[in-house]
Amino acid sequence: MIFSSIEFFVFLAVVLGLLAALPGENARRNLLVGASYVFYGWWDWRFCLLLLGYTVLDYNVGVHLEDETRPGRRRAWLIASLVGNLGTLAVFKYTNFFLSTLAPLLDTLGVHVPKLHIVLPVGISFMTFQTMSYSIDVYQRRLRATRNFRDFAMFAAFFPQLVAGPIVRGSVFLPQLERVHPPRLENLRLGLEQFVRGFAKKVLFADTLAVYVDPVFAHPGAYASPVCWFAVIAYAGQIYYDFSGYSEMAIGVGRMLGFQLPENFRHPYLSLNVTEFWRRWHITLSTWLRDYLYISLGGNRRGRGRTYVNLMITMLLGGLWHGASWNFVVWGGLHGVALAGHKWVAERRRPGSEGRFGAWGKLASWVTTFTFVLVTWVFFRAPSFATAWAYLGKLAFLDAGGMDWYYVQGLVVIGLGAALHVWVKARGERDLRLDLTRAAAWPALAVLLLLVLLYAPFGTNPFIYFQF
Amino acid sequence: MAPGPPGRRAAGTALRALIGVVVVLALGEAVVRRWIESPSTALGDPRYGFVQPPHTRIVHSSEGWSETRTNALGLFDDELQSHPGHRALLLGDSYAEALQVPRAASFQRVAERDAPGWEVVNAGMSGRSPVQYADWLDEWDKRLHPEIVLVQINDGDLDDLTLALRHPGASGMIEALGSGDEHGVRRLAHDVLRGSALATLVWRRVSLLSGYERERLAQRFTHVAATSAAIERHPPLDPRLAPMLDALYRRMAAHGHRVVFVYVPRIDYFAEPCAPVYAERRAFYHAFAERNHVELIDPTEAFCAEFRRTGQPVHGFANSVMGSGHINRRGHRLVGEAIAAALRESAP
Repeated sequence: MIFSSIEFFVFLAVVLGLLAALPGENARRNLLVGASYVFYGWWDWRFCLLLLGYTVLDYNVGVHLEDETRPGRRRAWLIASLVGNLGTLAVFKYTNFFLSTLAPLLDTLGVHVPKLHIVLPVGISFMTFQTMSYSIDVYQRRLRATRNFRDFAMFAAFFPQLVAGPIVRGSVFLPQLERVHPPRLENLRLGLEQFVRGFAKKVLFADTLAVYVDPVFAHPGAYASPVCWFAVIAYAGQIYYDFSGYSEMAIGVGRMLGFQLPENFRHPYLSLNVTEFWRRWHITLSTWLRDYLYISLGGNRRGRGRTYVNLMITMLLGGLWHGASWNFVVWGGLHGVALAGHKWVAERRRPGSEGRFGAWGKLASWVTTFTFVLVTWVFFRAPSFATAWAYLGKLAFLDAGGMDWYYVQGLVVIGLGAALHVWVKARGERDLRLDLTRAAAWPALAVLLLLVLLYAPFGTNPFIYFQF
Repeated sequence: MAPGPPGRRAAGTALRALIGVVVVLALGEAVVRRWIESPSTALGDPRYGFVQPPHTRIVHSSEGWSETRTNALGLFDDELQSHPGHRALLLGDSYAEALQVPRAASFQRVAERDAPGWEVVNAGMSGRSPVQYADWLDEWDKRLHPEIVLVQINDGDLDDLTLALRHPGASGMIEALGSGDEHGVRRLAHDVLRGSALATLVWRRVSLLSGYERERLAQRFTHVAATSAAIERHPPLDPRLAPMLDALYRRMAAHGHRVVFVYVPRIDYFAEPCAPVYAERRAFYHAFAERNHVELIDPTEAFCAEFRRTGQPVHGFANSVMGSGHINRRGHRLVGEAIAAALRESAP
């Protein structure tokens, strides 16, 4: 069930209606847990067993970590959580990747390994990181373990952010469970406003751009070089509007239900360097990687050389987290190199010299950063390594000829997206809001609705990040 | 000025919001009518399904863009010449209707330009198939007295013929809207909505979307493959199609004119080498032509040669997916040139 589908609208209306009608807080908590399992089971009821497994594992690990005082035993419980979480993720997501990587070696030994048919549960990577972070937080005594299994089940399964984030920490979510109110008018309005913004981002921007992106990335060799450039810019827009749209819808639905979920995007394409980009892009993942991986590896506390190594390891694993493919590893590796490079330059820069080239210097930084991000998206989006290389060849005008397809709707959306970014920058990065208490919001809503009805491509395209 | 009581403020806000929404709808109507879609002018004809009334302005924007007007006969063509040298009648569907390109670029016009002395009367109308063409010919032959009949066909026609085989009587035609059963408020609402370009477009989109959603949900709950997906799998052709098309051809040939079939193929531009998407269907039409000794214009090779030469497909438009959908100006030029060659052969 995806947020931009009819069945989700019906589902949400039923959940909100029941939440308003149910008299007791216990009933409302039960409802939200049950609804979350229905939401997840809509894809495949067997996925619920996996979700339940994660929940039982980390709930029990949390309780034991809280009660246990002996460091060895505590470490053992933590390892149990890590093995359980990462092991499950490895089996479902990476088995075929590892087998296919080892296949040439095994073939030489006369062992033929067939491709296994493993169904990848939706959002398993998000789920794993969320439950695992809870155990780590309790282990590090940053969080008290909850003694209420239902509350923990709701933390693990809360449907607005279950399948594609934002990744929520126990310290952020669990305190909000102290009171589960019936829906409040103010929350409904604010949640609806944010949901509409996210919905428009998804169906008007991301889905329109997908029409341009998919054919070009399927056969980059057939298109002219300028088309490939436009298509990769379109993909940059598609993935941003798709994922930030999803995040806003998730935050909006959470708000309607009375919960505050963390911000996930802050205009990443306004970044002037790659470090800033990762502070603005998929914030809940990048802070997760920083807090639970980079810092655990030693961060920048073990000397300069080790800092760069830690950065690289973090980004390579961050790339692999996105998908079981060498393309994602290369994508993460390139970002790791860029982050290390930027850190190296920043450390050598004289204090106060940052803005010495003025506006032109900033423009050059932005162009460099954005072009780097575009080029790395090629690895992220291309279906294979060979296709990624072919695409890069096109971007380099090595074989510039091919179909001239300047998709009008796609180019309009790219132009509109660029204009909105410039406008937001000029407003001090204050987002456009749809404030339904103001009269002007209603004609704007009418325009939005008409555009969705008239121009949104049909079909409930799944959100890109569901596959992760 | 002191703010009024809360109730009055809320009423003021609601009124301003309502006025704003009305203004948006009015502007939307103007924009859509001018550049995107015409109001629903099609009339339900008991024999032919939807037909356009004479002298109607039509705007097309879903693939390519054109603004055109029907002639006195309700056809997408200029007014008929009073004393044409030679006259050909073109029967076909949306490929012949050619709303995707300006009329001057349609293959009908290209053929007229390349075969001086010939008038090609375009009776193409989208959504039609050979099932209707034999009936049409009975009608148009009496009025137009053509020397040649050009029958434009494509791969999708075989799906329409299959549908007509499986549901005799339906003949694959779209049921006409605005039937005589509607009265009173319903009829009035229908007429008002049909007069609005915005409502026409919204209605069309909502109908398509609801159909898509119905199919998707049915698939979700019944695990039955969607119709569109089933068609994409290229099901084998029904063996009864060949005798059916032969019979339709015999009806057309009975008028005593030279009948030329014009096949417009779909092309897989990403195949190496460039090839027709539906090779089996193309072979079916060739076998039909051979069996009945009928002329068949097949521009497949010309389409692929053009693509090899220029790198540009002859299907698709900047506002749709390049390489798929209807033929563009290049495609119309190639088809028109092939038709002109056939017309020149017929010239006395």
